[in-house]
Amino acid sequence: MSEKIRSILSPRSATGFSLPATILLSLGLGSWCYMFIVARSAGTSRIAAWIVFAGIMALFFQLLRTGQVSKYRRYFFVAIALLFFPEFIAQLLETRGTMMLGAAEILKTETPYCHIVTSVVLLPWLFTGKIVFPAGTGAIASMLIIWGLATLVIGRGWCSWACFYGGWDDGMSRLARKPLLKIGVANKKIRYFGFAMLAFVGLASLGTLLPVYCDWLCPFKIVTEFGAVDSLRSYVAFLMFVLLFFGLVIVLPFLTKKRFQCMSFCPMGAFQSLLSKFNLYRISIDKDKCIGCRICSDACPTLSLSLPETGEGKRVPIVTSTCTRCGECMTACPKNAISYGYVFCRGKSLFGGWREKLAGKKGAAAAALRGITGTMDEVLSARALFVYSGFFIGMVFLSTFGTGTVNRLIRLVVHGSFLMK
Amino acid sequence: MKNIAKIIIPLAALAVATALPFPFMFMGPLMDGVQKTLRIEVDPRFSGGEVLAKFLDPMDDDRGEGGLVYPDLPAFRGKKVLDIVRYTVRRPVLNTAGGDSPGYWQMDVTLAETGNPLNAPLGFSLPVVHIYIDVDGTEGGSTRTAQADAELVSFDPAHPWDYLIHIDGFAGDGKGYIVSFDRAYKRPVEVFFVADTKTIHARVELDDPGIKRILDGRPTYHYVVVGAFDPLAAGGFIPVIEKAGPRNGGGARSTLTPRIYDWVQPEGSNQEHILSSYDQSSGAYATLVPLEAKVRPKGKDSSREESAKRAAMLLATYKEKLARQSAEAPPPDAAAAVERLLAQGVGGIGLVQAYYRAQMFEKAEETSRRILESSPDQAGAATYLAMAIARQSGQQKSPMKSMEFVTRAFAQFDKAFPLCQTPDELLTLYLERGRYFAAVPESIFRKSAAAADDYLKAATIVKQQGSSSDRSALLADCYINAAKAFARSGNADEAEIYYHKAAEFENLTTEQVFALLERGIVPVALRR
Amino acid sequence: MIQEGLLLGLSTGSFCAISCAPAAIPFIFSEKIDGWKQNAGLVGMMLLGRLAAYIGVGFLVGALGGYAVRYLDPEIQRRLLSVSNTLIGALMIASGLMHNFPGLKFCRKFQSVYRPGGGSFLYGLFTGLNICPPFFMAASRVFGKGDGWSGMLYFAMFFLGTSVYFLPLLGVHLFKDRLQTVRMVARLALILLGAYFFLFQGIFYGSVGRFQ
Repeated sequence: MSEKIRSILSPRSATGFSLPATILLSLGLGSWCYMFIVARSAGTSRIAAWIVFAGIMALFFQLLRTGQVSKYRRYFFVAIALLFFPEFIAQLLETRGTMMLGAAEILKTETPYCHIVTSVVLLPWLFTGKIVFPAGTGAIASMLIIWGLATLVIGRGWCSWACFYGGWDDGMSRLARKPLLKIGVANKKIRYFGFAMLAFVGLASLGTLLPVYCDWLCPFKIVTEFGAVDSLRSYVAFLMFVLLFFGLVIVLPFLTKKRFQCMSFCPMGAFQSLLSKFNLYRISIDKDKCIGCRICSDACPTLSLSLPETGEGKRVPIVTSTCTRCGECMTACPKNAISYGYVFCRGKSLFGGWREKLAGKKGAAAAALRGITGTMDEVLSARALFVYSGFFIGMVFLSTFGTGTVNRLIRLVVHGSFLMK
Repeated sequence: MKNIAKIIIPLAALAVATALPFPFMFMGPLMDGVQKTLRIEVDPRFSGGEVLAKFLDPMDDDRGEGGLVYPDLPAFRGKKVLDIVRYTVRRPVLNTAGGDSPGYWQMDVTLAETGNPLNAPLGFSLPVVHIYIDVDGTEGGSTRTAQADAELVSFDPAHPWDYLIHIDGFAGDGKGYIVSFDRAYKRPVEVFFVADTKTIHARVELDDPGIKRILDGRPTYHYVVVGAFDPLAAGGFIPVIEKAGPRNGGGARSTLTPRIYDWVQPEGSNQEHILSSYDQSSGAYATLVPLEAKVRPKGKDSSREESAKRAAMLLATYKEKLARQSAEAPPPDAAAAVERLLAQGVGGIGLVQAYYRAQMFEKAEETSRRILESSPDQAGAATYLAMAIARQSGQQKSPMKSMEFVTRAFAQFDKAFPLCQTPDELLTLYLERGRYFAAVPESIFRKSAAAADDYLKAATIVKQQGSSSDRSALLADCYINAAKAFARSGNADEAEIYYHKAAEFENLTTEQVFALLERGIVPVALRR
Repeated sequence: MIQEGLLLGLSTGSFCAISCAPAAIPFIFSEKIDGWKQNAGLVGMMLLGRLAAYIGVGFLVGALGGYAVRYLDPEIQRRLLSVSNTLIGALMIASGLMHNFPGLKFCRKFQSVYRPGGGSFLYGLFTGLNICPPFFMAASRVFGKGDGWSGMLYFAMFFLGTSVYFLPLLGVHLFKDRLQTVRMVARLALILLGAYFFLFQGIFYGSVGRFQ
């Protein structure tokens, strides 16, 4: 094989994927993307569908070829957040005429149900059998299914690959070059504050049988919907939403370069951490490659790489359950010691043994077999399948509101109006 | 062990990643399964409280004593806005959710149709609803209407009313009011109108000691009446005389005819009989009997449970009947019909229909397109083109191709709609589009509500075309299919209304009876 | 009377437990529990506080007799609830601050009351005053008796019945090896829950009237 062909087929970096593996994985994701996004669209929204499709596939392709998981994941994740809220708000304006939720809308129990509500209503549901949130049972069931499947597959990776709110503070945390306010991983209370929030919203909701977080504490109300501002109570609540959004989602992530809202405030993030163990994937640190420099724990946006308190020699970080599997530590590590891995079989490749046996053999057949087994190992690697799964789940959300927003933007340019009616 | 794990775990991860899309494609059945398994139920405080009692009222009985007609106003023409189909009493809510009220009691009135041609602030222009409530039996109350000469009825002496809730669309501040029989207590009542469900919700604050007596769980007795609103008339109820005019309703047989177009009658009562029970000679008004709203003990048979039992008993009989019918009457040879038409050189819409019945959908599509090329305004061809594309979607092997056909079918139905000029063309479109919307997976396309809407529009056209046994069977079909579509879209309340509407028909077909019995409803004709 | 109170407590006590959970659970998990004796002591003092609240209310409602019928008014219920929420919220904030900032002067003073069982008793007392629906059912049975002593007895039996639902708290010491992180989280949660109940369910709820 000529050098030129070999260089085209080979990965572009030490952590990148070869071209054959990239194509295989892209074909897999691409066919589902086509089905979920393009095939379901018609008319002018088909153009928007193709744009969204192209965007997703371009990011996925680049991620695989370059191996820069954190960078392209972040673009994808921020895009999910930025494409979600315009479509959501536009639909509210079209159907209801306002972003505000009045008593009549609550009465109809058609309030949109997001995944965060699950952490709020779980305890009351366990004890009373009723959901203390005015949403349709179909909407609740569908969100439970989507979130449940995603959690089983990628664990707390939901918080870095799928959550349509997380892209806000993820994006804001990357804007500044350096943190203006330093928060170290030693500050456990900041990391565990999310669990305190989970306990708080769960118990308060249980004691009052009201969705306390949604009524008072959700920072994302002002980019989705909020109760009609027509009384002292609702004014105070609205003020809290504004302060929490700007404080936790915009300002603090910008100043600290940490994902403050997701790390320390979101009760659902803490809940996902409790469930993250029931998952095939792990973030593993190769102790032999690790030099104990702790760059990874500083880079982690959720302070999830904690350092052992005692021990001689180099202190290899421990990946805690709050890890959102964003890949920032992998990018930061100067020795490529951190990667996605499977439970029970870290560092083992399926076909590694066969390639060792074929290593010294010459001939086209041996070369082809080496190539095929190498490609299969790449495709079956934890890194490949985790990234594929994360993109797929994020794509499911983009298939609904992503196309909608892009369609509306096209409409804005062509017709001068963002709304359909 | 580790060697086995290194084989199994990656393969398991691959299997999971490969299988991951499928649950999203079968969301509908999954959602149903999750809802049933987890018994997902929203706290009824958000929707106004747990339902205490629900009363269905027959549809199309907005004729008062029997012959009343609406006032002669353009705003009323062709509308059925004074026809109550359901009245719901809820349990009081104390730990209120999402609102500022310390506690309330909610009643819901559902109408067959609503409209707001006069831009009333509350969202409905024409009805005025009075709910008279007795909370204490004969301890106190009145048997006369709140305002003399308003509705022209009196009330059962065993249950004189204690409170009246007045609701009209033009009430100030978006509220109705509640007043006690002795006028000692009068307060605003929060009124919400939800156009989608055609329901008026009235919330009474629990701030009067008299009303708070209901907190001990006692039964309460309700009289629910609707009239045509006239702000200058007594009680807001427009007068009714013999001939309808712009300021009065018509069809009254007497000066004592109640000014009530519809009354939610208790089971066993007959509206026309009760509303015409006035005595002209003595001047005594017709006397209404109340609905009893009380907690029904579990384990005891309510009338609904009795009906379901009877339906279950009849179900087997009708299943057998259906099986016998299809064995005795084999389907016509559709392919032979196509051959015949081709041999005769017949083209046009007749051939398209024959192809369609023979399930030769590609040919049907091809022929429809040829017709449309020469006559682009041919509504029938446009509708059949949509139907042919729609049926082909079910024949595709690839889900992606199937999805494409579905999308094309939707677009073609939309194109056919403006071409339909005659009622028959519209009727065909609504029926076929409704059938297709009801057939596509609800989880992906969410078209069941639109299907119900199409069937109800078809029903309106059928009613306008007059009555005959064929029309009657078609009308019943429309109601049953609308009800099924409502049920699929999760709207059990609307489904119930239309199933009961269909159950009132006298000459239902075996399939129609079977469809009702399957849902635990015994048609009226079989109850005798 | 005895049987009725006990059965009412047993049948509706889960609602009482749900109402008390926001205070009782973070309280018990915020304490450093080394063994079953300490665990039993904390829970026992808390139940004693609840008993004191119940029999106090029972005596009052029974003695007031017909005057107490107003107690059943939803508006009165809400105002009384706002008082108990304010008290429990204040206690939770104080104990949360004490755990998280033990060096503060206020916290040192508070510890002298809190530590020797006073804290547990107060938790029990204030949660016992929490007006839950079963509590009102018990009150409605009692007000017609016109006698404070029978009211006390009824509520004492009611207390016994509801206490069954608090027994799981006696098992907290079994998880002592994993409790350090849970303790940290519970101590943070105390402040959050305390602030919520003090402000939103207490002061605002009671003073502004319909602020929920």
